[in-house]
Amino acid sequence: MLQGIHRYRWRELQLLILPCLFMLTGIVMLVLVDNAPQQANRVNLPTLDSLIPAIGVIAALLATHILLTVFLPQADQVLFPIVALLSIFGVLMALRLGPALDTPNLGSKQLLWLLLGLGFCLLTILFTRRGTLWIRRYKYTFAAFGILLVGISLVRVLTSHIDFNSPTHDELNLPGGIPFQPSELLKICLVVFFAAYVAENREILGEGGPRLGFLPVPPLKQFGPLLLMLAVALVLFVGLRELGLALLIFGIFLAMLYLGSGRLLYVGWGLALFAVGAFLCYQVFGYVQDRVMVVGIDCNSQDPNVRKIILGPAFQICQGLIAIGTGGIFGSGLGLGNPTAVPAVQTDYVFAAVAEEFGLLGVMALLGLYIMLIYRGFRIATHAKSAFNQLLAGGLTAVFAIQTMIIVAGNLKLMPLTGIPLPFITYGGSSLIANYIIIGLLLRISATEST
Amino acid sequence: MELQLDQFLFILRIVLVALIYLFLIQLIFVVRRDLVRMASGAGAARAGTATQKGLGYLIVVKPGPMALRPGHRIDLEPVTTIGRGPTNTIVLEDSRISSEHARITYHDRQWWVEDLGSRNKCYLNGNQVPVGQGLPARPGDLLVLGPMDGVVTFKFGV
Repeated sequence: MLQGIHRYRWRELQLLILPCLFMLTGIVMLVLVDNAPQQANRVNLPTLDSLIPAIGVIAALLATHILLTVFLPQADQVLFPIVALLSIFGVLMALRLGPALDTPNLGSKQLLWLLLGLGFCLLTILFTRRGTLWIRRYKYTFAAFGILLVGISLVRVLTSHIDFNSPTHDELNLPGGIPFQPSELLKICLVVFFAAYVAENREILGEGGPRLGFLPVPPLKQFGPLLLMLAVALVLFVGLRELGLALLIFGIFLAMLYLGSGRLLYVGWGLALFAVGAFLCYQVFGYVQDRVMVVGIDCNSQDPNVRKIILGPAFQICQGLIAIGTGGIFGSGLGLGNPTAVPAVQTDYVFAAVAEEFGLLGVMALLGLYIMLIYRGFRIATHAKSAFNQLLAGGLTAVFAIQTMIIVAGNLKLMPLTGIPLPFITYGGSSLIANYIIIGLLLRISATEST
Repeated sequence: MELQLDQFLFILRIVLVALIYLFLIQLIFVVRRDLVRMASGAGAARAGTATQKGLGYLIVVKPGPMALRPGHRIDLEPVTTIGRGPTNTIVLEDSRISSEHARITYHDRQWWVEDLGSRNKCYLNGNQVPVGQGLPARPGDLLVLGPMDGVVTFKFGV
């Protein structure tokens, strides 16, 4: 017991102070804005009741901190506070956007998901009590489970009639009416599979294989299962019209191959394959063409033809840009903007809402948080001792990095928009739970492998 | 009265963003302290072992697919064996490394490298190390294990 006190995670506690203050300041601001007598755009913000979720978040985070001290005293102490602040951001945005979207309980629902996520994080830590290495023996089980998850929603999509030109979300309704996105778990399953497979074959992958003329080709025998898995996953997603997730999986695949082999050759071949795939998707799917076309549109144009597009397929993206532009450098202030003009602002466009209310300064700070999160993840990966753990930690961190890049670039109209959650901030249960499972794995790897 | 509320909201707005930046600064301090401690820890370890034993060490130059970091230092024992088998002093888990690959010994005030009949051989400064017969190694020499371009490369140091 004495040893336990000696190893108390003081640094983590210190780092948690500011996120908790952030939550309290945010909630005070929301309550005050609601009671301000003259607001130009009164958006019906939460009342005093919203103090309960706010205090609930702080209590949940501190409770997790104490449980981590009990179960995993030697784990990385910087990772959890970063994630805590990001989650607080998520709850705060849900609290703020909920009433304006006529769903006043959005904040408490997000809090519930956060609690579930923290629970799953601790469960993951308990399940990997003897280290994470046992996971690699079940790599095909994980792969099959992932494919099964997506197969179910594929069947559901194919049996119901859906317009082929519209993107669909692979949502399953669990008994009890709880929506659940299997693809969130699929990405973890795939990272586990890739990590185990690449760790086993890394010598051969590192050596390079036959040559096609003067072009080196990856060794096909070792590459086969990987490519097969990748193809199955991509076909499933193309079937589900979740091209954003297909992009994410492809990015993870390339990142992990590069981490495992250290050869740019694979990245080159991967990008070539990507170019072919992107071209085919562009030719086949109307909605992909729409989204690529939208990137090239000027939202200020007065041309009637372009106006038609701005009010049609480009409506969301132009509204998002207007929201970001309204925010300017300093932002309108939490609760003082009007981000609900953007469709799907609580999910795909939460970044635009943050940009409007916190301004460029706030967005830069937010991206700084993501950079620190990714830095910490890769640090855990470089300090891991076994190849499997290195690849697992690196791959899981790459998930956060790629997801953030895809959705932020989409919101800023730098890239065709694809609906993918912004880690920890987007409203949604499955994404939060999956992200916390990843955090649990990273914490466990940092604890077992640190010296 | 209204004006005061507006002013208060304005201060809250600034505080809210400032809190994130303060958190980031705090993070950077923590990370910096971490890095400094790691660097000084490594330095102290180097100085400590150097004064403790005047023997020698290997520095990882090219880790190959191994879970080793370049620049990582491995201290040598008077008899150090390298191989895939778990009984070796330095265990390298790679199918191109034989279970008992090479042996490094210290006698006659010098380090000697010896091949233990490995399948893919080992090379000292480009010269193949003969089987069962030591080759003297000096500080700065490069020891390459494995076929052709090698799996792992170590540099000798004393």
